[in-house]
Amino acid sequence: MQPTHKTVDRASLDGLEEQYTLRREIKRAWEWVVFVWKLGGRLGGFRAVIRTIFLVVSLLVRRTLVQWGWLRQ
Amino acid sequence: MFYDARQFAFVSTLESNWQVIRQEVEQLEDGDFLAWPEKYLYGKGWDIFGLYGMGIKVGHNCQLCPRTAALLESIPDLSTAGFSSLKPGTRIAPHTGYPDGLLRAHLGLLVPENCALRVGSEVKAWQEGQCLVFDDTSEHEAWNSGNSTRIVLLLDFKAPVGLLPQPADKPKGKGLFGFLKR
Repeated sequence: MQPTHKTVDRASLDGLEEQYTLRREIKRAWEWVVFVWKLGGRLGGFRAVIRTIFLVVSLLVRRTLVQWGWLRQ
Repeated sequence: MFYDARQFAFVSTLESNWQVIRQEVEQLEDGDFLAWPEKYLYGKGWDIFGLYGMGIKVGHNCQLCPRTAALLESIPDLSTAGFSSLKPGTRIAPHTGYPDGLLRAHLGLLVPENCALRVGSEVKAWQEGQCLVFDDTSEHEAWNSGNSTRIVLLLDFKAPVGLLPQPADKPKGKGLFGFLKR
């Protein structure tokens, strides 16, 4: 039997959501850039970084093709 | 929703080695962890020590935790893994993950009282040495109202065929990264 805990009231969060703007999205994207940059420093060397860049680009291309319906998921 | 963790073969391997994993995470320093980039969900206090990301090995971090890395390498269809640290007083607001046919597991390593995870309408507390498995694309939130840091080993793995709901049943995301949630 798991202990139970009180969670937040969902209705109280609805008004707190930040308005969707390009500026907000750029800010959020920048946080990811900083995170990936820092994590990249821990990949274990130049070769690992290059290999990872190729892999990530291929993943993004694949995802785009799936999104456009040119490739099945 | 939560899934019965015992149906996944790797869970017993992780649970029987949880103290080994905990020893390695206890040797890490605060500076080894990185703040999770989605800060709008939590403010501060949620940090990650990445070991694998989308199948990519984070070599330096795996060297710091060699026994954990070896255990993770034995998991079939592993996508992402790392330690997730939640400082006292931190609450991660309700959110949904990025669907790609994956399930998420949390192995409790350092678990104070008064911290828990809600997935959908279910709330469960982590237990040290035990796994929780859930669908990350369901709305979920987590909080640590305890007085010490909560650390779990977090991992994403490919869900067995037929276990996850069809993507058409899921709400579409908004914003720049919304297309990743489709």
